[in-house]
Amino acid sequence: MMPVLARKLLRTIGSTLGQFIASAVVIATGVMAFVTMTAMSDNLIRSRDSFYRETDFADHFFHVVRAPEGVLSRVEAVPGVLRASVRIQKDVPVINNEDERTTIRLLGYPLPDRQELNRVKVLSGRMAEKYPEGGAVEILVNRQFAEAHGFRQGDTIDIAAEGRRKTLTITGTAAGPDFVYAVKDAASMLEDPSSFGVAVLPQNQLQQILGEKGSVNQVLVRFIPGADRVGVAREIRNILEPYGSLADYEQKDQISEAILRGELNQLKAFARFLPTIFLGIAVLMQFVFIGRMVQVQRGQIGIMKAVGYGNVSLLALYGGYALSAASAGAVAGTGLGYFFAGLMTKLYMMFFNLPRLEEALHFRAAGLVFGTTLVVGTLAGVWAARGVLAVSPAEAMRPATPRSFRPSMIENIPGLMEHLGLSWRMSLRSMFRNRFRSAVTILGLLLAVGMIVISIFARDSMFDLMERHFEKEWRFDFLVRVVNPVKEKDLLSISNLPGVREAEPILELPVRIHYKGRYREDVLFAMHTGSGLGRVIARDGHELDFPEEGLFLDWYTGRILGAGTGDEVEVETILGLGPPRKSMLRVAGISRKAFGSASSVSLDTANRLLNEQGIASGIVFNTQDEFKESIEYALGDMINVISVTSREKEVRFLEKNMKYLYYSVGIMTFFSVLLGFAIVFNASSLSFSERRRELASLRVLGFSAREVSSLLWKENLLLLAVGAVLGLPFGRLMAEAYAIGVSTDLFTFEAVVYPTTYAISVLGGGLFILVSWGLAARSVGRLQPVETLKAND
Amino acid sequence: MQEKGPTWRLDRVFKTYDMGEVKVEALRESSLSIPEGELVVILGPSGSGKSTLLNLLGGMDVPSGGDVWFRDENLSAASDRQLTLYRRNVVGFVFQFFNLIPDLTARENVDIAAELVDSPFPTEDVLDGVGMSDRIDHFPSQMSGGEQQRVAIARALVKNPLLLLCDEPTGSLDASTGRLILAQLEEINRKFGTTVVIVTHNASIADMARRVVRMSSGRIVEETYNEEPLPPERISW
Repeated sequence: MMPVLARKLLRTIGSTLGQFIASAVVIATGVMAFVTMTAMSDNLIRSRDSFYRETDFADHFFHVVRAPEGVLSRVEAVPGVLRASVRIQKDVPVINNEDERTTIRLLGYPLPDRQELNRVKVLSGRMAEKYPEGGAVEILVNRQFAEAHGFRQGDTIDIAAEGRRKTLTITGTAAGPDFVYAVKDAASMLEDPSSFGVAVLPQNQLQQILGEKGSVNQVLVRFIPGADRVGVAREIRNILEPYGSLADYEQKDQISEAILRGELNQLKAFARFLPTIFLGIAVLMQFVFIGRMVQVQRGQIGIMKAVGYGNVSLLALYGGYALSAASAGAVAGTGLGYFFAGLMTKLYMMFFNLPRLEEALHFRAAGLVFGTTLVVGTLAGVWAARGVLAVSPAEAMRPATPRSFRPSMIENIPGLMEHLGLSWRMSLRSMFRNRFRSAVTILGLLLAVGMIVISIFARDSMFDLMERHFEKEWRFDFLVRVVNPVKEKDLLSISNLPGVREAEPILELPVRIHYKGRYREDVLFAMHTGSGLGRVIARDGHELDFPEEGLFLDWYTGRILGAGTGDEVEVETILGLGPPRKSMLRVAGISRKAFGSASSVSLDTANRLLNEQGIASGIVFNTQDEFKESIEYALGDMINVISVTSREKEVRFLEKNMKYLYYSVGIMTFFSVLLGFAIVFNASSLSFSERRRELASLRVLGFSAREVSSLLWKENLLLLAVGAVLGLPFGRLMAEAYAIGVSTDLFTFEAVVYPTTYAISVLGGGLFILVSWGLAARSVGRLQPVETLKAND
Repeated sequence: MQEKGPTWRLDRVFKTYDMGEVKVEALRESSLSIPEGELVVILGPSGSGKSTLLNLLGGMDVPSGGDVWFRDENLSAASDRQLTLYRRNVVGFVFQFFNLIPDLTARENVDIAAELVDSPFPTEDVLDGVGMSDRIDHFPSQMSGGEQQRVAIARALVKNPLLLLCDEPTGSLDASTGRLILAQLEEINRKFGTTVVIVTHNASIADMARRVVRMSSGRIVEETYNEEPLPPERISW
């Protein structure tokens, strides 16, 4: 049979079911968030690591304009290099009947496969053949691209390469470590994934298509473990220098890996952030509630001690209450966590090309959080129960000594109390004299209000980003990039299209910016000074024109280099045109793009850097609405055009993605509200049970039920005011902490909170107060004054 | 019954309580011996120190000075753990306000004590003995005061204690119910040889005891012996 103490525990849970469920729900939410995020990121990390191992993801990447295949043996001969691979890669436009411009990255793959670096794994269909029958060219594409366009094995796509149209046959789908997340470059992160794909094909075929027989433009290196990577990379750079060294970067900066890592960081930030708040609140709730329960059951504890129960059994009884709530929460939270992790995995499968992402979920997360929750929850319970257990049983048999009260500070403020009505005076006094109770309610409201701010701010920040990007930076409808930089007049074929209103050339120039021995690869975005179609945004949010002299340095580059306004930086061009050129430029200011990173110069400055005149790499223009479609159609047929970015489509794509954001905002808000209710419900039931006698006495003295509940209401309102005043900045701080947590090199997220969000949060707090008051008013109505006063707790 | 000297001995004990801003001298230097098997009534007005004396005897509290002996064990020097074991194995308590645990039934309130010792009396038998066998699954709120007190006595008895301490056991009961309770206590003393100490302010109750200890202002002022104790049924107040 169950021991009586255990039965007492169950009865206590039963009689305080509301509070019990409230704290279990809060715990469950925290555990769920932790398990979901951690299981997901564990899963992602394992899948990624094993995939990288299996496919030999390179340690370092070098891009050159053109090098002979033979360079491979020279690179492999460098001490510290374990293995190397050479590849050719080129982005080309797909010619299709859809009105959307699609780019495909052709990735040469040496066949037969002699254990290359960055091997690809065939996911469906079969490997492309080196010499297929009938002179066809076979490719494997990434799964997302195939799915987006409904491609199946045997389908063909046409591309434009070297001014010719070429047909490629799809033999299946593949995954490779460098396109787990397939995106053209950091600047294109916002574009619809269906507009960019990766095609793997035999290297010999690609060389032939590009008219580059025997040439490669990428060198992949795996270092010997423990090698001096910086030194070895320098040596390889020297070897590659004559072939037009464009850029080199470590594995961690490879775009697909960087995005994947950013996602993992975000998951980790989430996994730390949310559960900590929720578990913290749960512990606090348990602590306060059990502390109060022990106070109320002082007499019972005394009896049990008199009967012969020791401290350990009694601590176990009250600790057991906390343990039960923690267990219930942990079990429910873990179950839900794995359920959501399963759903999230499916979501990730849509974006990440990892062959084994659906692998079984691992249970490290559950173990971790289960242990923590139970230990922390129980300790809180035991700690809360400690006070009364320390007194002797005889002392526990007597009612607690009345607490000594003194006039609080607020009552000493001259003139304040006289100006307030009796009920306000009583509320104010009660709030200040019961500091612990007030502090708990305020803390609860602070967290609840703060949580609403945190829930909604992501939306504000996203709106702000979009506004900066689409209203301030981009004042054009289309951005068209051409395959190779051309003279401005060569873009007339585009600016003369019917329906184009204003057009301006742009030049995007990949550069390496040096300052005091440090450097960072960046892109210079150039437009004419005084252009009506584009603006630069300063770090502080001001709109600026493109500078006549010098450059506006991207804030992130500036931070890495340690360069600021007025400094002279060295700009080295790494465009594959002619030899790299170095020039000094003065930093005219610090800018911050909404998305991605780029520094800004005038078109003239950019041309001067290249020692050219009137060169552009693309064009931006405004159109008359009714011509948009025909313009896009016309652009689709231009072979020299590499990409067309439509502001309208990008906005639409972002808005589509915002739906995911709204889901997560919705979920977060739901849980915040839940949390708020749990906290406020808990605080108000506690406060009521603590004040039963006091309120009953007021009723006996002649106060009406309405007057008594209005006392509670006024006190609650005062507490809300304090909670909101503290909760709003708390929410703001948390939002900033969150923004820092999820920011990566590729994507910096700035916390923006609109005033409406603050207003909504305060309203939310008011709602909680209203509900708590409703509960209290109901209880006051039910109060039997005489019974309550007679009862000996 | 063997005569081996008193089983309980209070040797010049006193107790002061620190009540926040005031010090209360609850018990001034007092000495008292209780042999096993006696029925003692400690009589005094409220504040005379009788409950304090009872708490010291019961190992619920330790004196501020002096020694409390149980056989050859000095309770005033005992650890918390030892006191717990003493209360568990030696003492049964009956309180003025019954002090049943409100969320446990009559049976469970008795079980909670029974579970603490190795060979308790069967719970049903004990409840039957106090005439509560038909209310065994009722909660305290469903019982009258007399019923609650009988359950409280059952709870004290189920452990088969050497010493039964009763603090104003009739204080919250009407006279006829009170007499029934006292009769039960007397019967326990007579049948099982359990030492029973009853603390009360009600002078009439003293008539049922062989030995009466009178207290006033924290001191034992008089000890008297009744040659012919009255049966509880004949006591009136």
